[in-house]
Amino acid sequence: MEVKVVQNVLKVNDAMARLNRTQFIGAAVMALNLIGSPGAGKTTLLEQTVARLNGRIRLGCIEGDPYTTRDAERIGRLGVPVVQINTRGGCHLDANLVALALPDLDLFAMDLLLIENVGNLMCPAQYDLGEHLTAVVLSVTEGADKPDKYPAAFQRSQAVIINKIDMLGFTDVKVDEVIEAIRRYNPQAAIFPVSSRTGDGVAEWCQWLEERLATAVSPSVRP
Amino acid sequence: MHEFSLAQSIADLVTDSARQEGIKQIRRVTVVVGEWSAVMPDALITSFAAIAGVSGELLEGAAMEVRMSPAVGECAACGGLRFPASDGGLTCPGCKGGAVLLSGTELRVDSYEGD
Repeated sequence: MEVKVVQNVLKVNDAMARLNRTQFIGAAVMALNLIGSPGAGKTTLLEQTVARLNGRIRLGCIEGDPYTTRDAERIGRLGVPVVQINTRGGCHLDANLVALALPDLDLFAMDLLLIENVGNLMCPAQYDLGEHLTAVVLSVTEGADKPDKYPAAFQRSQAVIINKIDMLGFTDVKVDEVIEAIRRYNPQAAIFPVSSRTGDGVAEWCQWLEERLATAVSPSVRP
Repeated sequence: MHEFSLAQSIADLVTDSARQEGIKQIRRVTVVVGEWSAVMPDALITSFAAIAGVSGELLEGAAMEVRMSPAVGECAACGGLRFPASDGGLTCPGCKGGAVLLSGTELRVDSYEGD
């Protein structure tokens, strides 16, 4: 006999992600899942983001890396509560890893939780963490062909940060062709050309985050 | 991606279902793999065969069939025109506007056969 099942293979992860999302909503926290290649500049962007938003809104951070606590130390130095997840070789965060980190953060004392995924454009695109927003960091030194090669990450994101625009003169990449490539997979995403090194364009990205924060979580449920 | 652990999830899923249905032997499992799901079908099939080979009676000798699900875009402005997204992305070939992704990222167990 044939039995119709029709079930998502990642249903356990998705169920955990729903629980995370319920916690975030209950504490009126907006969660951001930040995806990008190793070396795209995710942590430097977060440092810039924290420097600009800390004090205006209450921040928290989860850092995902295979090894080391370097990124958590960098964010922690800026006075933001941060938890480091070491995947010990795992190439992405999943909803369970995030759930295990949440008890170490006071969600009720924050408005925005920044989750930096493991550096990888492939697998993180498949794992819902319970976030409200996904953003991809793509540096110009990686080349303009990345959206065509890794469509799923770009397709599911609400924002793409084109990082290292201060390096454009050392590459053959044009920002317009990067934007065109992103648009092929995501006509709606907000796109921010940024240099996390000089701070160029970071204000626009942060303003977008603040605008999304205002609509993502109802003010009425904020403590 | 993580074909072995995904194959293990699939094995657990169909084993649980088969126990509920009173099925003693699973013969074939059909899964749907999206073109953009980052899952390698051959690795999934090999992993599943390895798991089925050591997991005892219920799954012993069970084969996996993979049905690929292409990445397909759909354009509302063109009356729901559907087109493959694997070449030019989600830009509608009709109006050059942006379309939505209809399928291509899924990974699901569709059905299994057994007795």
